[in-house]
Amino acid sequence: MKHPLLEVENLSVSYQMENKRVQVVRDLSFSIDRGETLAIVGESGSGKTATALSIIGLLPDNGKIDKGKIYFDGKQLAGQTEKEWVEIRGKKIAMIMQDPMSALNPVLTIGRQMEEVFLLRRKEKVNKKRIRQECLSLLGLVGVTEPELRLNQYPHELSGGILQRITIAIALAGKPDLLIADEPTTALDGIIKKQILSLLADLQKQLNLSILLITHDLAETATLADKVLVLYAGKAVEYGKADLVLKEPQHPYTKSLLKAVPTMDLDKNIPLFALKGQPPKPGHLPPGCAFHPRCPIAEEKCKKDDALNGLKEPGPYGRYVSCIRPKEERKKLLSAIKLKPERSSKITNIFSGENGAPILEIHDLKKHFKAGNFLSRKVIKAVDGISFTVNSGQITAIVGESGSGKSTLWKTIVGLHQATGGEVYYLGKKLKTMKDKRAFYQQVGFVFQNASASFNPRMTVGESILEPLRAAKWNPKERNGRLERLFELVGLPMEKRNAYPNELSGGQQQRAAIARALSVNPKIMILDEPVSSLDVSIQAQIINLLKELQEKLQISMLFISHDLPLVRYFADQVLVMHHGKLVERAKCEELFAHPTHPYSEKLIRAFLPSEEKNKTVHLLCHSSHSEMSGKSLQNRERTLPSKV
Amino acid sequence: MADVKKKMNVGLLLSVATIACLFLAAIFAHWLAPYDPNAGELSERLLPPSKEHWFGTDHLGRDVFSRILFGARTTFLVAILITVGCFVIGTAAGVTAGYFGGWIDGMIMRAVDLLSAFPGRILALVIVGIIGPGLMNLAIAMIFTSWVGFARIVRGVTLSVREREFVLAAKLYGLGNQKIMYKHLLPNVLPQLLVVIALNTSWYMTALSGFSLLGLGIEAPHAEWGMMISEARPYMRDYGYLLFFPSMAIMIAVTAFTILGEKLRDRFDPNFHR
Repeated sequence: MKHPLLEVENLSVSYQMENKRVQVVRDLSFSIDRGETLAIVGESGSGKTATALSIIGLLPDNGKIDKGKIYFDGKQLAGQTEKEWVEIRGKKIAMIMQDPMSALNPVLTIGRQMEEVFLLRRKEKVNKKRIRQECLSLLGLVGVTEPELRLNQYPHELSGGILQRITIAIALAGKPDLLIADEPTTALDGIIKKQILSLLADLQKQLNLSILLITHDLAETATLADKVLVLYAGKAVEYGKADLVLKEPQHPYTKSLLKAVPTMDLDKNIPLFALKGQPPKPGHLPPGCAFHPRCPIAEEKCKKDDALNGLKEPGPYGRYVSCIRPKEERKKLLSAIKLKPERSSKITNIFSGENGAPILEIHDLKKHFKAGNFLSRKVIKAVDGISFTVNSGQITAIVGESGSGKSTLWKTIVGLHQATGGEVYYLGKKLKTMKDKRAFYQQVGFVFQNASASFNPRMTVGESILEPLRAAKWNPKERNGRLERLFELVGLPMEKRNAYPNELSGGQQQRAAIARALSVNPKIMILDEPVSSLDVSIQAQIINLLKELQEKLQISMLFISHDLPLVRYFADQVLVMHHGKLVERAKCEELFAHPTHPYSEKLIRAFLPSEEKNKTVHLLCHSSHSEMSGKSLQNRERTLPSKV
Repeated sequence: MADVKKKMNVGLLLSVATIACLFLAAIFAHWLAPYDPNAGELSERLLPPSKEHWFGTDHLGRDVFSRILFGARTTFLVAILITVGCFVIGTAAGVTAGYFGGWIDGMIMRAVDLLSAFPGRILALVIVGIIGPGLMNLAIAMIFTSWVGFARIVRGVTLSVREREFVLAAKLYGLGNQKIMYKHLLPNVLPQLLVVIALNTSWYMTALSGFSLLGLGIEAPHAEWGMMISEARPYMRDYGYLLFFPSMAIMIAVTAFTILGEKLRDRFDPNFHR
């Protein structure tokens, strides 16, 4: 009988933590056939990376496969010696990592690093010229332009997209049968993300490769995967053919996840669908079904019985759903509740920007960095002549790829970077001296991408949040009153004030960061990628919170993001940046309905469904322009395409 | 895996216990010592270890055990004094240089370069030669020559902590430079310094004993381990124990501090997890 290429049976993996064993993967079974792609989807801490690492035998020293079997090509992998693994890794199973920048050695040329693979793998004498030839053909295979030149370049000279292609080429050098891709696009921008995914799809067809895709992004699955395995707290909650799982999710978690992914057809007036609560930490699982505290259709017996232990539903195509409720009942419940948003109240139309007074005006702002030595002076124009206005109560989004100058722009606006030219007006007053700027940025609320890094790990959350007030010389009683109000505003329980940042989950950290931003009662908030490091279900919670706050407190926001569906949902005005220039500035609806600059169009298209693989993609992100096509173009400003 | 963990803790425990014992011995030397360390009984000179004199007596008839206890006091306390001195000056200089950068950094670090261009112990010798021997002067000389090591390390750590977002956040929320350095940089720099502190303390102890051996440290009647070795030299052929006990004391103390330093590094260095 033909056996699948990879077959995992009842895999359980645990990590030795400080003083106990923590199970991160529990009783997982799946299989991958030749030329098939399986996507493992889950939030952080769901055990997806631990699964991948056990398949390639690279679990860290404190990790152990407790039980279960991993058959690769009929051969048992679990419990192999290191020597046997060497025969498998790279040659039979290869892996690509999340961040191509750190996966490559910065001090060696690309060529050196690629040759190394061949030199290591071939036992007989090798011919340098032939190796080079093979490197070139590999680079060609993964679609790297100018391969000859690339071989002599160092990683820092290349962009993330090209680097990821190169790591794929290196992974393919050993002609593996199975490629494990651990979040291969998470570190990349929208356009590049799509290119890498379609590259993987191409390679799979060309080489009859099997791919194990690890991801937290369900939309990604749709373009690539044949089968999907949804992980929650280390266990499979749903497993089956991709189009079936995505079209008709049968587990409440899968359905919620699908619903939480921001798509291009969201209704701006309805809060995003957000799962309540946070994913459990491994080692602190709730009793019964691990999902029950967040489940929209949980009932009493879910708290006791773990459906994951027995009630598998092997349907057609090997699909199973682990939920204690019978299929029909569940189906009815799931469609009946329609996964309504948490808050029933509709958000009132908040486009107050048109009548609001301007808060912040930027005129022809420039920031040029000098680079290079005295022999080859270079000027890098990170921000090059940008003008815009933020009105009170308005959300302005800045979009663009990484390296387009988004972060430099806000840092120049608040005066962290000395501007090369241009003016900034705050409440109609020009900011001239350093003192003006200081006074200005103390009245701005900031939220950064990485919430955990934006808190001093050695200070309690409460102290950190109150710090701006202490700097502004509030007295202790006022401060404490303010803290209570802030915690209430962002939905954090008061007892967390004495917790240290690492005791909070990602979502709570970001809430605390928002509380700190609000402490000074700002008129404007600057949010630098505030949700891009969060899990999808948490992301929706934070966005809803921000929108609610904006509505309640009438704060203007400068929202920096590369997630266009989210921007489309969240923003009133959008600025598109490309190479330090503002290429388009328009009202949100108009930009998405009729982008005028080719670059904006390209950006938007990257987030629209692709027709490559599964039709279900449409279910995820089919665009509906109808609602906004009526608007005219008159309010639009644009710069004509100079160079793209 | 569990075994490795256990072993690590045993090392830490042992070194901490040893240091604690030595420390207590130094503090309570008055009560613990059976004899006056400086009062000799010439009739009882050069006695081998016995019930009355555990470690024997020296060439002046002084009880070696008592002298080692009192010696711990000088060796330990002075080594700690030097560590504290270096730490305070080095940390202040390092954090300032690392945080401000630019010309301030340039000035401080050039001074550091200048000082570290001379071999430390020789420079200390020269300074003691100028300001005269004596324990305090020796301490001053050693602080003067060795704070630079701290400064360099602290600056390095500060440079990396400075780039973290919470420092940016503190700046944006209007905190002054001093507050940022004190509340945000220092608490995050210190844990990484524990290791250096422990390792350097052991280094200072050997250096101190070395200087005392040369007669540049503590004055004659007082006990100090290096000094004891120095005094024992003429008798070393026939009365080896005179050399053995103070050397052992130095070895045990230095080993304890070194192990402590290494264990602390294992603990705090995130790149060093096994």
